[in-house]
Amino acid sequence: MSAVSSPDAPPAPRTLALPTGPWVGFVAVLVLFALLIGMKGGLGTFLSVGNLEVLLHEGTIPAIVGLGMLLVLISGGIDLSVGAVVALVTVVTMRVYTALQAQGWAVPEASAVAVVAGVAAGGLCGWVNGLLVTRLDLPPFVATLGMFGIARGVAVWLAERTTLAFPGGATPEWVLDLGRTSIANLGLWSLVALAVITAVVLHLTVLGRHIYAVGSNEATARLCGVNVPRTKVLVYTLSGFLTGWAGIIMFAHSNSGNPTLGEQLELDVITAVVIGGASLGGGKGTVVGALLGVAILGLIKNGVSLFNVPVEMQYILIGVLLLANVALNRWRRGGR
Amino acid sequence: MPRLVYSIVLALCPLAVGCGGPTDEITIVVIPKGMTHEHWQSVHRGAERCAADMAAEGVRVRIIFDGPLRERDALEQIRIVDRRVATGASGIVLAPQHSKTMTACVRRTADAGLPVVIIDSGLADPDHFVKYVATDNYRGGCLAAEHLIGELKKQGKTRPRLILFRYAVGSESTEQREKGFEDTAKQLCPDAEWLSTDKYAGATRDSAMREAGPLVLQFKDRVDGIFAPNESSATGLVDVLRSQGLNKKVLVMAFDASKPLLQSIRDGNVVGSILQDPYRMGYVSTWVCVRSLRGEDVNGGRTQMNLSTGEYVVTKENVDSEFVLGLFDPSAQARRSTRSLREGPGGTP
Repeated sequence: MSAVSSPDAPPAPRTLALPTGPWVGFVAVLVLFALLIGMKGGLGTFLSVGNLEVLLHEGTIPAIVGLGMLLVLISGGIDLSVGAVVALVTVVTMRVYTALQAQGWAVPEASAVAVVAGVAAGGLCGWVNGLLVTRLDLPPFVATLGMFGIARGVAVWLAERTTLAFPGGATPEWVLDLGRTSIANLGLWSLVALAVITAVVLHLTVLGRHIYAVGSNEATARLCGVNVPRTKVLVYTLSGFLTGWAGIIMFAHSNSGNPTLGEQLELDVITAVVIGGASLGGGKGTVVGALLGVAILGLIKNGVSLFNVPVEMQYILIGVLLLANVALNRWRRGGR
Repeated sequence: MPRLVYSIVLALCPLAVGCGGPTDEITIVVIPKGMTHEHWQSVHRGAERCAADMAAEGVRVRIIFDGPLRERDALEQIRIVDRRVATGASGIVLAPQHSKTMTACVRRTADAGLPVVIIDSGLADPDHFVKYVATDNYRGGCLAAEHLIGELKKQGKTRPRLILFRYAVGSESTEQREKGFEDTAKQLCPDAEWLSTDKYAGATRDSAMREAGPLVLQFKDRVDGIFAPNESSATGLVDVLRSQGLNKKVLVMAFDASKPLLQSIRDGNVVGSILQDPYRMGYVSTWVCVRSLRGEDVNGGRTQMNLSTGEYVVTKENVDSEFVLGLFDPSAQARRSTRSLREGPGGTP
């Protein structure tokens, strides 16, 4: 891979160069599991097209949320509310859909409005996160922790403490399609599109430069004329919209509006993005790295689940990988 | 670096082809609601027993027991179904966590050509599975009422004062038990007095104790019999009665069993309980699934979709009998005959 950068680019990170850390981790996990599973004689299944589809299907939601998390981490923030927001989005979507259907709306119109409402709910949560961080000057950890509680609570309240199913059990076709484990799944392709857009925004636009600048050194960025609060609000709002869209896919995958969905999603996603080379200190991270991080986590969970590798192994491996990756990054930077 | 990945994947490919599993083996994936409850362990043992019996008849069946760690992890159960279907399962035995939301993935499974057998709890979409194998909870509730009313009549209480201590809102299986109990008790004793039918025990033994405390205090001088429709509600209720010295004076009818509850039956603190047969549930569902895969008609042309695995009244007299032990004890389960597992034990304990 060659780095594409305009000649007059500021000394920003070599943004399109691939990080080596995540690739090493990915290969290590792949080989480790191929060996473990090969010994049990299940390698054919592990490397089958069917399993690849499963991996892509299950990775779609954390990957889309991960794109938003990547933006937030690069800008020097963190978003702990994503899991709860995803749950809230599923509930809002189902509530709106059910209400419109009850008023005699046709399925396509009711679906479209419900989806827009769901994504908007996600965007709204992100926007509020951004305001809390900039206007009230709250630390992102605290602001989004508050949102985490509020979103989960509102979701449970809106769902009246139950799981909401489609009225009459009639699931619309598009929900069934999004739920299907297939390489032709539109949710998966929306991830591809969103990943490309995010990469373009980060690496080829002024906003992208500003996000990296704010995360690298906020004071310097301000002195250079970057509107820091505006950039931050934008970052959290974008992350909110991405989480909202992930919520729609969660809605389809789970065939329900369910306030208990997405538990610990925030931790999974943060782990994945950090394994992918982003830093909690801000200013670092790439789309490819984040997606690789999600792939590594997905691979570990998949191998553990399908081949009766002990579940403990999953947690230990993820923990070791996380520590090794961050330590490696620190050591390399210190060595320079 | 990416090139390295591709070359490694390529290098692994021939291995993958070489390791393809034998094709004559049938893989049945049994997916419970959760992994921890003893109930599901019995289902698992029943499925394994079926595989062993089939092996003796020359049919190789592999059982994979895979479920969500937590009972309310709805997405994970859907994930497991899709994952297993995509990676070579021959048939699925599923205890759906939710009767409506699980319909989509069952439909996908059926579309992929795999037979699905639903166990334990119902599914709202009857067109995409081959059989529903479960306890008849309504009938279990009826049996509970018959036994409790009978015991009360033995004490000369022909107009008993009853309490129905409900479990939780929206729990389909326990609501069926409560309905069966109420219907039968009203039929047997039209002039029974119902002191309370609107208190809910909640999910745990602790919550049951919290709810039962005030209830017992309020009616302790009047109540004759109480029905608690599951293990935790009954255990919590018995704890409260014992602490107030009312055990054995108030007759408690329970549903399901645990070690403490069985001991309460032996001690006479609980007059009886209705037990399910999860071992047979696991056995029969696997058996139906395999037979369906072998082209047999397992539901009489979709006219016989339901199969009850039985519900049994357990009392002080039979609590330690071989039959009752066979419902939950692993070694007694292993001693049950293949014929009784397939055709039903017949008779009562």
